[in-house]
Amino acid sequence: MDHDILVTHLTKAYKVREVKKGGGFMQFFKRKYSDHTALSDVSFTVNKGEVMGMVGPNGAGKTTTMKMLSGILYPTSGSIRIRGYVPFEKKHAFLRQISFVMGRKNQLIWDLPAIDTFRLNKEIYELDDAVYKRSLSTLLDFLDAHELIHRPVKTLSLGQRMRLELVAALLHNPSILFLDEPTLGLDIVVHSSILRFLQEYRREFHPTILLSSHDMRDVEQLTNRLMLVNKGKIVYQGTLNALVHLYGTHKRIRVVREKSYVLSKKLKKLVTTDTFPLLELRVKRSDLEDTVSQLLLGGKCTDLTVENESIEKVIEEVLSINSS
Amino acid sequence: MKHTLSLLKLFSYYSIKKTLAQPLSVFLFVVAKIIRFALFFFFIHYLLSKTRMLVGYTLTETLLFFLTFSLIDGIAQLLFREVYRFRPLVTEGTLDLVLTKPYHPFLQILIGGIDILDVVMVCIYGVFALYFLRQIDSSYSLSLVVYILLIVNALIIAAAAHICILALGLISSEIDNALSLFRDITRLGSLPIDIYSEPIRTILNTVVPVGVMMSFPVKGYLGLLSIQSLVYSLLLGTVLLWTSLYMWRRALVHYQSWGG
Repeated sequence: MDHDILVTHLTKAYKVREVKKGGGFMQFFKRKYSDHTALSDVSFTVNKGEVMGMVGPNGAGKTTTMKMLSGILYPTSGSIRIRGYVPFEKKHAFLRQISFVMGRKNQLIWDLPAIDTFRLNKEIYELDDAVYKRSLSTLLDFLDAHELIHRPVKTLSLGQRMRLELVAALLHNPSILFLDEPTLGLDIVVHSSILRFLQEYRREFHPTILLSSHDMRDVEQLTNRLMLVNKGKIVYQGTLNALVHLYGTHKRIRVVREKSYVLSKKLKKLVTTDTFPLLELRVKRSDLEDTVSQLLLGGKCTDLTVENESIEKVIEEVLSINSS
Repeated sequence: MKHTLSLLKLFSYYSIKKTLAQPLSVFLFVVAKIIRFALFFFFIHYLLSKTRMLVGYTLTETLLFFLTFSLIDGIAQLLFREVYRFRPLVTEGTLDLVLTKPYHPFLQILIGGIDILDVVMVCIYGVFALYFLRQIDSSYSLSLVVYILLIVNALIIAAAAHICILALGLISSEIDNALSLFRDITRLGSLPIDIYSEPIRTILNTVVPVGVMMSFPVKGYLGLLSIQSLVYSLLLGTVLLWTSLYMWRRALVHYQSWGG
C-alpha cells in the first residue's frame, strides 16, 4: 500500500508551569514545571488519497497530532514521514504540497478583500496565471463565493469567511490536507454546503486528508477510516462500520403507536424517549428479537424501525470503556 | 531570490494599503513624529548654544549624532514594524498558518510590514543628516563609505535584536515589554556615547552595543575610530546575527502553539 503519511511511536509532551494555590509571591522566583503528555506513543499510516478522521474529546491530542504532521510543532520523540519528508524541517517542497485549515483561524488578511490573499498565495506557491485563474474560478464556483471576494474580510460572516478560507487553502491544489474542525461554529446550511464541497473536492482531486471534527456528520460523510483518540492514545483505528459492529452493543427501536397501545412493565425499563405517539427504546443486540415480539403484543403501532445506535453514542461507549 | 523579492513587494504593498485605509491615524502619527523630532533637535541646539561643546563635540557634530540615531532608529522601525504586531499572531494562533507556508517566516513576521509612514520620517532624517555631513570636513576620503558601512552594521544588530524578541515571543508571547526595553536602551545612543562615564560606556559598547550601533558611524565618519574598533563592530554584528538566528531555531523547537 502507498503510504502518504507514516507516523511511528510519536510522543509530544508540553512543558506546563505549575501554579500552586496560595503560593503567592514566591512562585515568581520558584518556578516549577511539569510535563503534560499530549500524545503518547502513537503510530498510524494514511494511504494516498485516503480520508482519515480523527475523533476524540477536547484535549485528546488531535490538533497536536496535526500540528506535528504539518511541521508546526516539534515532536518529543518518534518519527513522522510525509511523502518522505520530515515535516519539522519545513522544506519548501514539502510545504508546497500541504494545506492546513483550522476552524475559526484565518489566513485571510483581515482588513483587505479576500482576493488580495488569493493573489498573495498565487505568489507564495508560484502559480502560473492560467493555473491560478482556473483554480480560483473552479473553487469559487464550487463554493458559490464569486460575489464575496472583493469585500473586506472583516465585513464577512463566519460562514462566508470559511468558504473563502477554503479557497485560499486549496488554491495551490495541495495533495495533503489537514482539516482541523473546519465546520466549527457554522450554521446548519453553511455546514452542509461545506460538507458537500469537501465531498466534491475529494472526488475531483483525490487529496490525502486528515480530518478532525466533533461533528459526526463530517466523519460519516467524508472519511474512509477513523482514528479514535483519547488522552493522547489511539483507542481505535478502522472503519466506521467496524467500530459500530465492535462496540455498538445496543440497538435503538422507534415505535409510532396508537392511543390504545399498552407497554409492558418489563419494556418500560428500556424506554429512552416517551412523547406520544413516539416511543424509543434502547436494547441489547442479543435481546432484539424478543423485545420486538413483545412490543408488537402491546397493541397497534403505525410504524416500527430498528436502527444502529448513533455513532456519537458508540464513541461515547468506547471512550468510557477506555477511560475506566 | 526573485521569488522572495516579489513576496516582499507584495507584503509591503498590502501593509501600505492597510495603513492608508486609516487616514486619521496617518495624519496623527506623522504629526506626532515630527513634533518629537523637532523638540529634541531644538533641545540639543539650545543646550549647546549655552555650553558650545558636548564632551568635545561641536553643535554640528552633536546634531549629526542625533540625526544618525534617528536615521538608524527610523529605518529599523520601517523595516521591522511587523515585529510590533507579532504578539496577536502568537496569542490568536494564526502564526501556525504562517509556519506552514513555503517561505521563510521572517519574510512576513520580521520585514513583512514595511511602514510607509516611517518612510516619510526616514527621508526627513536622511536629508538633515546629509546636510550636516556636508557641514563637517572629514579628515579622510573613505569617511562616507565607513559611515554607511557602520549604519548597515547597526541595522544588522537591530535585526538581530528584533529576531531575539521574536524568539522570546515564540516561547513566552512576551513582545511588547521586550520591544519597549530595546527602544529605551537604544535611545541612550541619541547623543554621543562618550557622555556616559565608565563602566556604563564599556557596557554600552559591548554587552548592550548601543554605542556600536548609534555612535560608531559618526565616529567613523569623523575619523575617531581605530581599525580595531571597526573590525570589532563588524564582527559583533555578525556574531549577534548568528546568535539571534540560533535562538530563533531553538525557539521553534520549544514553540508550544498555545494560541487560539
